[in-house]
Amino acid sequence: MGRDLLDLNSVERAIAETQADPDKGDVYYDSNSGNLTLHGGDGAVKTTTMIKEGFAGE
Amino acid sequence: MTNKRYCDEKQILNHYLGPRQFAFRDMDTSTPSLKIALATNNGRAYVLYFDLSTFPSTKPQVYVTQMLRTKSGELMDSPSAANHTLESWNGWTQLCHYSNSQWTPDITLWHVFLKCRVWLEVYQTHLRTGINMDQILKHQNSHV
Repeated sequence: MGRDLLDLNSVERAIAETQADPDKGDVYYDSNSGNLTLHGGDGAVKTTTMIKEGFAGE
Repeated sequence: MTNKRYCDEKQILNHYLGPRQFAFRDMDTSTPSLKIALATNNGRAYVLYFDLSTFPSTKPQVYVTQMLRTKSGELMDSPSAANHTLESWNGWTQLCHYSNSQWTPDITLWHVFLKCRVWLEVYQTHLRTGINMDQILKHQNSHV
């Protein structure tokens, strides 16, 4: 926990997207790659974007 | 919050968190706030919203910026000893951290953040196992 690449604005945008469309699943953060991903109910990764570039969605 | 306290709190958060992980907002208004992005140990990402309008005289109200649900699908939108939640606001679940009787003005936002981080880890366990939040997380009677 602690200092990493988590970006508040990117996480906020990703969460807003999942709130608008629950089928997109939940927001996950990979601390190794710095990627945000959306995991659906089936566990499949739906979206991956580099956090440094901001969350673009699908 | 005094300017010195604000600077101290910011310095502490800068020490532990990434530079883009948190942001204070509207600090010169009657509705100052703090947002912090975090990820639990299983990778779930959340944003915490701290209402700082009466901090540090009273504890900040802290919300997850979404409405959480229990494993059985119930909204976590009201005071619940079982779920360790308080009254929701803006469609966001409010977390229970320090009780009013435990609160002292020298408790930092970092300490409050740690309490909320523990809450979210317990929530992940609840979602995975179905075990009641209160069975995992006993009422927080002492400082972190």
